[in-house]
Amino acid sequence: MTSASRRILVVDDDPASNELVAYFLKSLGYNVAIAADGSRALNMDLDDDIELVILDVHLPEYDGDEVLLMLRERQISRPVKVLALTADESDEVRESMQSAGADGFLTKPVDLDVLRDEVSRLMPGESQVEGALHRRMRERGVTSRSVDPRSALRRF
Amino acid sequence: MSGVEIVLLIEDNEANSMLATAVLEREGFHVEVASSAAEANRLLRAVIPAVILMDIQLPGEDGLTFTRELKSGRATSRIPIVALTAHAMGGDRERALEAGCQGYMSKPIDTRTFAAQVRQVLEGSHRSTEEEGAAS
Repeated sequence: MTSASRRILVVDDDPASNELVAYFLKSLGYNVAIAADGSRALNMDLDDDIELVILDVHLPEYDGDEVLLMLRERQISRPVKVLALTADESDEVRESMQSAGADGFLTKPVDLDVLRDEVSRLMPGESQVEGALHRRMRERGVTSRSVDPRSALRRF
Repeated sequence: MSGVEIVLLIEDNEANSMLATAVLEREGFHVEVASSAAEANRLLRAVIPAVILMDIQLPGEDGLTFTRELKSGRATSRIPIVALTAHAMGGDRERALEAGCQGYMSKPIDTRTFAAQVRQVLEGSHRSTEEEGAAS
């Protein structure tokens, strides 16, 4: 994983959520694709190179757990991790996503520090390629709270 | 690498928000602008920004009432809020702090120091979060 960015698919019908989550992940150097509903997500070529799907639970047409089951039924050459995202914190929703095969669960509004940690947990390995935005920040001497990816990963 | 920091600017004056956005984006922040409390709430249902810059004279629900509301909300109570006001009147600062704001800036903003002031508020809030973590 040295030359190409690692790829994440964000599936959410709320454009504010989709865009901000995608923007944040891009700033970490990931390559991000967006889908506004389950059909669009399932139509994407997941065999290709997507390593993680961030999936909103309440979607039009199919709910997140249905999309997840369809995704899991597919013969994908390598495992795709799924992080469920919802404003509904009920145990029922959490259980339905877990039994459908979600690897992680985050509540909305998304705490971006927690999102970053969950993404590192679900996509372990060398850290992602430095994003253009982050490079620009560094060049301008903007200090941001730095996290050593190695020490962050040791926590898991 | 910690990722871009999102600033939510709640300001109904377009010229003011464009200027503040330009200054902050030059420093590497990502700025989302909302022109009312209702618009801000749409964004706050999606993600938690690193800091909120709040015009205290908003149309509809005013900034101080909205600040109190956010400070009592479970998901939003820990977001640092900085009050922005055109009033150079005494008492504004106290009212802002009393409502739960971490800081206070008067408009027009000073483009040379604005981003550094925002950065300072963020660093202060990181420190207090760390202290809380150490204490528990």
